[in-house]
Amino acid sequence: MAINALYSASSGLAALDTALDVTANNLANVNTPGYKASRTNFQDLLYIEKEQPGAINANDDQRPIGLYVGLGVRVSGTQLDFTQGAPQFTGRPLDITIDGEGFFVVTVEPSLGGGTAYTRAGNFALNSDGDIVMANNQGYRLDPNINIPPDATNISISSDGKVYYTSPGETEQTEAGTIQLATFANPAGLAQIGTNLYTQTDASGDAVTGEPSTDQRGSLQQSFLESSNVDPTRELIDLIRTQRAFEMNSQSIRAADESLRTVSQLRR
Amino acid sequence: MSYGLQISASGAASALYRQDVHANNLANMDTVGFKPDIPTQRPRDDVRTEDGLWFMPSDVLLERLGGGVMLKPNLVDHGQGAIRESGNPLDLAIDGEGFFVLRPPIGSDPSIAHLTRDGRFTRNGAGQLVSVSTGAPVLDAQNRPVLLPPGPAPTVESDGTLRQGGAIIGQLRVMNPPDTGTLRKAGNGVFEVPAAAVARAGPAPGRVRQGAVEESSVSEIKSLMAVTGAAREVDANISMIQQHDRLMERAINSLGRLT
Repeated sequence: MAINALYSASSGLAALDTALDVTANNLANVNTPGYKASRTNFQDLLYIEKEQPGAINANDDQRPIGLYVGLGVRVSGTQLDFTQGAPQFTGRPLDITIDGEGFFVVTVEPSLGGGTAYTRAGNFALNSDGDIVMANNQGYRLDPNINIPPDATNISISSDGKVYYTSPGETEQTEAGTIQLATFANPAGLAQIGTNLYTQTDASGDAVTGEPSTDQRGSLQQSFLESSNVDPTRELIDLIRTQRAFEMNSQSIRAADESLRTVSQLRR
Repeated sequence: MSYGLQISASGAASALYRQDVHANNLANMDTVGFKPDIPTQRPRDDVRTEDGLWFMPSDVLLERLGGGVMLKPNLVDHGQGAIRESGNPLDLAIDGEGFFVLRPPIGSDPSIAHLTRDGRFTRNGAGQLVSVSTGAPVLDAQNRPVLLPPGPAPTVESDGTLRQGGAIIGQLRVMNPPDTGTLRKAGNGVFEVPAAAVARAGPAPGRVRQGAVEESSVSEIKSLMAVTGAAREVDANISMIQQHDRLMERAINSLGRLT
């Protein structure tokens, strides 16, 4: 009966609604440093075997097998796209781009992912203690913490993660520490917890932490910020496709409704 | 009872069923690797022929009408979907005939193999190449899960060979079942096929394209036409049923009246 058509179409509407949310979020983050676009993955639902409408013959050999109806579509998940965003020159000494697969390691509240989170957003700043922290309202510290004295000038970060500064009256640079980067077997399996942060999950595998420029972690580029990897053109095309698909599924509902109404008015 | 009433009822029932199938196709117009179902039907034989009641008296006139319409097993349209660049190195599309082989879930019937055209893969925590939809590992020619060592994403050649930094690290199996008509849809983009048929099958002529996905091969316009067209068919058949009903009503209440 057309009841299945109603459910298939409504599952289509629900899945497309999720896709619309994901696309809107990607577009909203088109200027967020280090943001990685998500995409919505659809998959078809189960199929049910239907009986042949009408009588089955005495030998039971007229009824065809393989007569089935699909039950629609669902969102199987969203998937992060970890392709590199374009590095943008900013001139700020504490803007850092990772040119490679690694993530910065930051210390967060123990309630979030066991106290360690990972980010690609390289817009760092100094807090009042002189620690290098993420330049957002939470101010999470790098792990291991790197401290720059308040009177230091001329902070420089080498491509292998060493942070140097110049103290007043000195000509030689002092090393403050090394920024560590983490890589994952499956970065797409990381959990997104907002504020540009990711935490490790069973799907992502354990973080492998090490110095930049080793083992595919990528090198650091000071004074560059990795821009969002959202491609606005692609997202807008997805938006159009999603909206049209939404409309077509609503037409399915209308047609199925008409069928059901006709049937229900059979006996007037 | 009016024979035509049954014929019209079979028409309405088949139209309702076809509407379900096309609505499902339309709902999956954005599902990667989806292949639309084509509902098929055939004229139904008259009751005497269908039930083998050859000894019963026949009504030649009515039997010439046949028995309405009857559904046949769905066909699946295995035509190629459009290949869309996605930029993700672990998205694979097959250009041409062929299927990826997935490991069936543990505990499922070992005589059934799982095939898919949905090439959205990722690396799981154990380093296996798995389907993003179901998490099922992708198998190589020896029916072992394909393992990706840590490091940069591999390059995938058109025959499924995986290379990382120039060295061969494995090969995806891309196979072609002897008869796509034996494939049965199991949802989640998976087609079930007897494992024996997979073991015998040779490599597929299709070429693997990296960084791309095969879009659903549903034709939105055709499906929408079919869904709305089926509603009209229901309409027409129901009207016919009402006509038969009126005819019988006249026959019972007017024809038999003496004055």
